Amino acid sequence: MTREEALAAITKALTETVGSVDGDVTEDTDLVADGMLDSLDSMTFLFELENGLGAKLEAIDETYEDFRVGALVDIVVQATA
Amino acid sequence: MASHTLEVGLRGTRNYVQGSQILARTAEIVAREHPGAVLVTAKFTRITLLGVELVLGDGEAPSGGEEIGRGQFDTGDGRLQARWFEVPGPEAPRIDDVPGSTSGLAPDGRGGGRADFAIAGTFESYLAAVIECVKALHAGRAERVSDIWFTALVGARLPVTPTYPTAGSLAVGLKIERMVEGRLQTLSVVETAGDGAPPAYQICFSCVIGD
Repeated sequence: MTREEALAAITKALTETVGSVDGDVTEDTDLVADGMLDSLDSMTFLFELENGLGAKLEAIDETYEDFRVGALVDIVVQATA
Repeated sequence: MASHTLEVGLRGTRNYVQGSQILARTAEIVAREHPGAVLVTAKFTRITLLGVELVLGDGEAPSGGEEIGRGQFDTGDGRLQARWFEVPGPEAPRIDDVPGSTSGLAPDGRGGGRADFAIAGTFESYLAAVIECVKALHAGRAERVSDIWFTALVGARLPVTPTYPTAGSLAVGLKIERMVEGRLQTLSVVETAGDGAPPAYQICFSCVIGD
């Protein structure tokens, strides 16, 4: 999966989670710090992302805290390589 | 906008009003005008031991209390937003506990598992069985697990009318877990077997593991 495809998958999971997204989601977006997700939403987001990818993201364990989109893109690209 | 004071209480020895009570009383109110409605999402951001006010649609709670959660129903004609507010004032009344409704709990060793249930077939009895099952699975995960709270339902299609199976089984699959500010948050998928069972959905819990 390319970075663009990974970004699209992340945006789709975000939309599935919160319904609609105000503004553009870029690799510089921080989904938690920018107020798009709270801690409860973040679990739903990860579930939707893994469902959409059809793969478990092993790099995201129970202590994972980095919800910068660029970091998530790295993980998705690596997991789907 | 319509607001309603919900008839909820502190059940048994609990020091909080159960989310299942709040959802059940809300479902009863929604069912009066929309008997075909289904609960789609619900999210509680905090617990309360005070009274609870429901606001359907837009607008602030007349009591001016703090919001404790929100949810959405699909009425068939669109989405109906529900928000729940704490009512400033005395604690909710103490009410009797109810017996458990699940049996044969079988953890799968991965944070999920299954159990059988026998219930009245109402929204509240079904939700109580699901929460009882998931709570028991969480409690069995470690030696010291406390404060196990139901926090959210996502992607659900739970009818507000009593169309649930009176007997069946629940399969709970743990999908996501995160440690946030000292609490373990989990997301599991619940699959229900039985006549008239609702489709699978996600349920979230929060608990403390260890001292």
